[in-house]
Amino acid sequence: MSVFGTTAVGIDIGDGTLKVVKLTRRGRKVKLVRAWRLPYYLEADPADAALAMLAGLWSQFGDGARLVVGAPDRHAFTTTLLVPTMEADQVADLVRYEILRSIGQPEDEVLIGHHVRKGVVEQQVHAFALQRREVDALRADLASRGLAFDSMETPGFALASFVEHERPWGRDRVLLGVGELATQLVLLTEDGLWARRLPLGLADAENAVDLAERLSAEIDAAARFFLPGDRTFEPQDLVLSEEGALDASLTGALKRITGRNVLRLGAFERIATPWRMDWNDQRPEETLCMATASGLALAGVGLGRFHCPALGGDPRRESARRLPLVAATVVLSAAGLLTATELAEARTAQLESTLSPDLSSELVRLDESWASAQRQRAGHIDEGEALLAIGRRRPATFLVRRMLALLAPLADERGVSTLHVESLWLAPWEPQRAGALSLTLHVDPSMDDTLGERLQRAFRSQFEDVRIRGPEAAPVPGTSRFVVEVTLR
Amino acid sequence: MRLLILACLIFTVALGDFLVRGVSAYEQAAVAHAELIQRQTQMRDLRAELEVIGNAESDALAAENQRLAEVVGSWRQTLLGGGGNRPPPLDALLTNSRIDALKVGGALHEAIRDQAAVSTGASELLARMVEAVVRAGLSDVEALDLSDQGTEDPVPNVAGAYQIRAQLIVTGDLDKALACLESLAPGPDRPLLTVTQATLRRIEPDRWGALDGLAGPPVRLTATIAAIYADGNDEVSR
Repeated sequence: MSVFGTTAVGIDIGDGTLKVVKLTRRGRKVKLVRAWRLPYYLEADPADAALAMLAGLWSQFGDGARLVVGAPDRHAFTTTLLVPTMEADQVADLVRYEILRSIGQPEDEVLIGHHVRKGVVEQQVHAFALQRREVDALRADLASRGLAFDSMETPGFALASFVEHERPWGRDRVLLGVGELATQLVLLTEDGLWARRLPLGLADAENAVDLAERLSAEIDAAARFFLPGDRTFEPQDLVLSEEGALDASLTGALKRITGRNVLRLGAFERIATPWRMDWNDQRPEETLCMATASGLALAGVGLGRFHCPALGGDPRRESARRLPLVAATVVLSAAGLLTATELAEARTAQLESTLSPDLSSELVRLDESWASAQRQRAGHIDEGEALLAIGRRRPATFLVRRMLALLAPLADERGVSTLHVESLWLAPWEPQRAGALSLTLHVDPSMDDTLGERLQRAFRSQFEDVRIRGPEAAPVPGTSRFVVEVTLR
Repeated sequence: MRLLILACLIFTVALGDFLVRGVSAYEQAAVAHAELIQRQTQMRDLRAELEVIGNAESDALAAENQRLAEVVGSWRQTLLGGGGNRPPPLDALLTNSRIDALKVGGALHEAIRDQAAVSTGASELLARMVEAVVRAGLSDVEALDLSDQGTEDPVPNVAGAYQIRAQLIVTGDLDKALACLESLAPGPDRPLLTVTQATLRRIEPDRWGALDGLAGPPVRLTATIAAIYADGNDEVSR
């Protein structure tokens, strides 16, 4: 089953009306998509007409749908075996043995199948045998018209599957699918399933009462034939389907004659239906009565309780059904490759642009620019200091006179011969170097005690950095020497 | 089936595209990855080497540079900009001088003229020095020489500026010596003269007893002068 759901078409051919039901399943939800109902029993060649009608509808089923065809069961045999739990191969051998023993036909003339309902101790095996020539004939007819299908199911089992799906947990039941030309009779108990196709339909009876009486007799006969003598069969109700369910007089007659509750399906309980079901002027109840076709479709979507394919179909259909998935996978792979290519290129571009070589050169350039700016700043400062030093040479030059002026009061106090400027040395400011002014004085020794302090007082008031050395012995006899050193900040 | 064929066609195209572009892109990505690792290492080393500079610091430095440039420019314009008076012609100064050593036939006359011939700058410097001596009223010049034959030396740290040095030795009264010295200080005239070093020394010790305060005895002034020129503003022809 694909994630997008499974679609199946059930095709019921054999009872005088071609009935086709298309279901789609997603998870546990089943939905009715479309139904076709085409009576052919009045045609000159009913069998050929049915196939012709089916061929006309085939293109509407869709390539992706599983096509499940009802098997020809005119001479079918069904039974239920209760067997101990054993291996599947052993069950198959047992079924083959029991079927062949019951029908007395060679194995190559029949098509045997079975469906196992496992139990704890023993298991129910619902087995059937179809006439191989009938099945082969239908398959050949379909193939001759180019109608390939997926599987062929037993109509009686399909009818039982549908009723169990829609009305589960019933105990003993009689299922009657009354068609125009044939009737599908199914006896359903908790531990068994028996089906029989009756060549008796609406078209064969004079009236409903007559048909009901004959059907009642068939039911009783089937119960006696199929069920063990010690088995009590007390069906709660009689489920009527197919064209017979559309005949109210038959319903009433069956109820009256059999004395049982006759149940007709007035609505699907577990199959969702579209809000309009009047395809090709078809009445909703005509769709609801197609129990066998619905059961075949349920088998197609994997919900048939008694799902047991009698024959596999064309394997190419299964392959063809997988084509969209395969194609989608291929396209996804292609998209993956394209995406991988684009991602690789994008990744390459991203890696190449991350920490690009330009970035490191840009960093180096910025660093050089910063260093250059700092060099430029240092150059400005150096040039400024040089220019400042040049400019400050002017006040330094005039400082000589100012310094000498500071000495004048000292010289005047003591008379003309007591204080002389021996020498004066000026070195103005240079870049990175303070200016200096040095003054050498020769004085009368009588001033030795006080001159130092007075010089300090006089120069400190004008200069921050003053050093005074003296008194020292002067080269000129009778004088002392003082040296005043001023640092020009 | 057509759907499958179409899908296969698309896949083939995608596969071809992958083989042509995708595989090479993956190889390039591997190479780019290896190069990125290498660049990361280089970047880490670079980061360890380089100073971490923020935009704010960079902007602040640029602004400071701008301010410094403006300040230095204004100083440069003030000190070395054009304008100011040029000195009178040296020959006229020498001829009109009353100082014996400088006059025609004086001890220094020819030597000064010879040095002035070195360059216009040298001539202007000598003229300024002679003018200073004359204005100060000094009468005795012992030396008035260009240092290093008037060689123009670049002024350290001042782009486009150079200087010519000279030495002046004069004797005379202290006051006149000081006046001479001060007239050699930087001023508005051109070239820009500066005193780079000066020494005053009293001479004739036998006259000390007749000193009248500080102004009394004659002194010898020895000064080293630098004339500073700047490209574009001053022209020195050789």
